[in-house]
Amino acid sequence: MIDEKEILLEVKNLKKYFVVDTTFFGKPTKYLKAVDDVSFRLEKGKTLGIVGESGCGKTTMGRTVLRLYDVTDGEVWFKGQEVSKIPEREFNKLRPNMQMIFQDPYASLSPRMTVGEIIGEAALEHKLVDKANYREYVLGVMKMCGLQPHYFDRYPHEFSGGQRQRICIARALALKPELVICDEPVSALDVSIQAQIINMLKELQKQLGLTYVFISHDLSVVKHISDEVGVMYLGSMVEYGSKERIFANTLHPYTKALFSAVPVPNPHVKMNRVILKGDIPSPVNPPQGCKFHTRCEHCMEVCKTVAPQYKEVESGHFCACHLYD
Amino acid sequence: MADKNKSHYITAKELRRIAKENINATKAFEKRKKRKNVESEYVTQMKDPANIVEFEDLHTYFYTDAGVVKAVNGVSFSIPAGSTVGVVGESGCGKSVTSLSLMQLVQGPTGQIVSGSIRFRTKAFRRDEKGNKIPVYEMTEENGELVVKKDAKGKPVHKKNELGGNLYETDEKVYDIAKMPTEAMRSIRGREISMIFQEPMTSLNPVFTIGNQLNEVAFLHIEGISKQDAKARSIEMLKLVGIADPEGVYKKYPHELSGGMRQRVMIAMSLLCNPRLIIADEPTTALDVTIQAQILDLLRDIKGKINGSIMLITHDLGVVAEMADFVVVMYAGKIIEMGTAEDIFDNPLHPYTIGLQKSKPTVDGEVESLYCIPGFVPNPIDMPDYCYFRDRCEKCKKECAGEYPRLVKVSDTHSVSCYLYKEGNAND
Repeated sequence: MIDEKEILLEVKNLKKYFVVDTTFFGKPTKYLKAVDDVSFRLEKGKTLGIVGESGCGKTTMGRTVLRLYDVTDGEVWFKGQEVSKIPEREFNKLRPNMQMIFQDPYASLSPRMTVGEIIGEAALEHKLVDKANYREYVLGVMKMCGLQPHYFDRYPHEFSGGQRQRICIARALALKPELVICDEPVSALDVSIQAQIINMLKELQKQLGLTYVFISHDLSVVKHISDEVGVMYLGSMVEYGSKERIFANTLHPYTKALFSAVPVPNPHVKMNRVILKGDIPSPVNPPQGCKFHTRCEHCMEVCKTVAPQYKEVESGHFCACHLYD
Repeated sequence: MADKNKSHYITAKELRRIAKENINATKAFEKRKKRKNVESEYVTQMKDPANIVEFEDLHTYFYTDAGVVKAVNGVSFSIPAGSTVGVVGESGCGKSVTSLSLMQLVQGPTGQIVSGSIRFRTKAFRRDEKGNKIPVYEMTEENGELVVKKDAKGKPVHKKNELGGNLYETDEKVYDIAKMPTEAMRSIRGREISMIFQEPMTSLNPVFTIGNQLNEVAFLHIEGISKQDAKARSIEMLKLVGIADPEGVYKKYPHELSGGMRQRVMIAMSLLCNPRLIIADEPTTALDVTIQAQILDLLRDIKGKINGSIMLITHDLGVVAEMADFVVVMYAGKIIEMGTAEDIFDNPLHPYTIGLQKSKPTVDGEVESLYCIPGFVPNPIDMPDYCYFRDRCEKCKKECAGEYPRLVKVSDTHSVSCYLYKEGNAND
């Protein structure tokens, strides 16, 4: 699959294990496999939506791609450079190109810095702007994100959740990034504010040609904003493909259950729901074979012993399930 | 640097004045909560005997240092017996405070039920002259005469009710919760009305086992229940909420359970005394969609089994559409629209309800850009005296500058508070 389009981000067999138990001498004996073999490639200007239940490793994946966590195994290619192996000092030069928007706008802003300082600090640090033009530069970014100029000297506690999230977005965009990883940017917000932020993110993408990795547990939001969708379960990607394909032709039983669980705002629709039994198993000792077999309604004998291959079922539509062998 | 032009700036003099006023106002309310033996003051009648709860013109205010916040500002609706009523709105619209007022759990002295009434149909104990409950004893026949059965120590044996506790003589009464003293409220709270809170992680005590916490509810509310009966009842409830290994969970601590399991335990706890009304305050907000589907399924199932009513508070329109028979939409402390679920979702009238529905992306629909309601919720301290939604409304008319619109009935079930609509007419 060679595209003439520019691939901005490519992730190959990414793994991130956390050590939970060691021997007396510090040799790790037990791992929490937060991200276990995830691969995808993302074109410039597109949006990849990552969905899954809490604890499935979607946030860890986002952070590992940005090298906020060290990679255990696998490769992350960004603009033709392998970011997981280059030295820290060189990587710091790449950092402005990859930014992150965090989930909780109440916890991710320093309460002791003014809005202007929060947004401008990193731009100054990376020498994108000098001290003389600093104020104009920050005001420009603020205007782009729908923040009034007189907010410049205010502190975060004076703002509502939606405004704070705008500040977080402005902070990320002040570095003129190409890739923005949005880690549940709207899940802490009200419905009407959610719509404002989502519209703004889409608008900015069109204006600045941004590429997003949009992590969320809200399927309707992911469907609205993404071009491609990846579904994660217990650290692995179980289904991946373009939005149209995934929503029109859902393959993996987990994705089917996830889609049918979304409540529809229409009292006449009585869905025949696939309700999953039980909870997500512990990632410290995941089930043998297919990780989903404990909750799957199509579980076969083979699922309990052999882990399914992650492969292309139809063009551009990947799935890891024995039903499609 | 303080800037006097900023709207939220308050001078020290002003602050002192507000604090003084607040103390005076809240003192009177706190005193009212401590009255004793005043049952006659809060016994009322239901307007419609089919209802289990009726809110009428409820006002709950918070006396804060920055001024009075009218969190609930004239709310009237009713919950019919055996139905689910969904209350929707954004954060800060007063939906949680409405339910807390019903439980008399508004945090005092700052928060106070100022006026209005909450009528609740309840089972009230009959009292003798001294104010004691009248027990019902087991009777036996001795020498052809009916006498009270005595145990080995010569004490009379209580007749047991269906929960395994002592039976007392009761009456069906209607109480006005807004006027009840705190002491009397204890007989209703937890026993007749129970609540499922939003955060299953923080609403269970981490240092006690699940069994311990469930039994505590039984000991507190079911008088005279034995230890064995309490345990049996707890385990029965855990089984009812679909926990596969109730005996195992009974011995576990909250941290050993997942979020979904904890929420099931919370539901089990709320069902323990066979309540007439369950208030579910955002029961699924902290949970994943797949677990949310499980819990909603369970709530629907349970409502049929216990024959009670549910007041469901949520901000998720999808959840309301799925669960509720009646929907109440709140905005800035007032009801702006209410009706059956079909009324609200098929024919939303108020511009806010319409905007709210349009601003939510759906899984089966496809739109280029989402609708967003312009502007923000007004500052809760100085609410305008015209329609609170006027500054954000796109269909604003001349009349909207006048006083706050009344709630008009556009059909038998559907009412809306907007100048665009007239009595009995749903088409503008």
